[in-house]
Amino acid sequence: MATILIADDAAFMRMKSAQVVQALGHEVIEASDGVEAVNFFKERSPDAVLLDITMPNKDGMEALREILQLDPGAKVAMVSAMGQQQIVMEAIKTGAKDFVVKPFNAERVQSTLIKLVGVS
Amino acid sequence: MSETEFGPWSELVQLGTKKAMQGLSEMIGADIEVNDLELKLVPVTEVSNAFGGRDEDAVGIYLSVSGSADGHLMLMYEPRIALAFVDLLMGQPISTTDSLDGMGRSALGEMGNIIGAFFLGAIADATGLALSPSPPSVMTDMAGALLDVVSADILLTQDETYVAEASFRVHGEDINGVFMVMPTQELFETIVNSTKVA
Repeated sequence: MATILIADDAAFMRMKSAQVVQALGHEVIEASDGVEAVNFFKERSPDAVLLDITMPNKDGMEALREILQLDPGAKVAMVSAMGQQQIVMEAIKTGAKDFVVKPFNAERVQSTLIKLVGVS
Repeated sequence: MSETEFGPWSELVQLGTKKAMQGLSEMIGADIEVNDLELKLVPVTEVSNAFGGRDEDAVGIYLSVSGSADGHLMLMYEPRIALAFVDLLMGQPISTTDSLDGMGRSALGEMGNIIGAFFLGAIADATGLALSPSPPSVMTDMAGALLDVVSADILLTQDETYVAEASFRVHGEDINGVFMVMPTQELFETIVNSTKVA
């Protein structure tokens, strides 16, 4: 079992993501913005992070940079409805290990978690 | 606005709306058939007429646009339609939800996020512009009050704006709503000019 940090400002999306992640047998930590995501990453050292891009206070790209400063090997997948190529490329260049375009299905999240933490 | 400007703008809005409906369809896991999509140029002060009048109760999902230029997106639905969307998004039978709680608002906000991102993504891909939606705000009020949020900013630079009225069919139900694409004059010119060089 792995611990997965889900950061999304939308409670609805956190609920949907958590349902998928928990059904796969993982523990979930939820953050509602980028500031919380960085703080929880620091405090709880999750095995992987699913990080929304469009969030208030601190957006996902800024949170990604800070998480990678804390741990350059951090396993982070960006999650966004903005699937434009330039945004995907920027996330991957910055250090995200995967990019999940919303809306997603359970299989897509499962394949991302296999990529990030190696277990389904 | 000239014919040569309206043509490309209309095409982009139709392209964006089709993509937005695709996003919504994926989100609720059901096919959405667009029955009708009408694009109008209307005076900003009369936008609420597109919804049936200023005093009609409405649920609005608002996103601002930033990047290459600024603008506004607003989805407006009658409360019963908004509640039906909550049921579709939560995967429960229509008429289960009878009031809008925090999770329902969040679900509608995420629906706005998906629609806005798909709409702007289609326009960005077609023009090479960088356009991003803000986090969504879900508001419940009379149509006029909801629209005042946006029209005050639009009126600073222009007297007219664009309203797309879309009706579609999902799970055998006709759903009518107003999808307002309200570019500032700057965003409109940026988009139209980009289609000339694209």
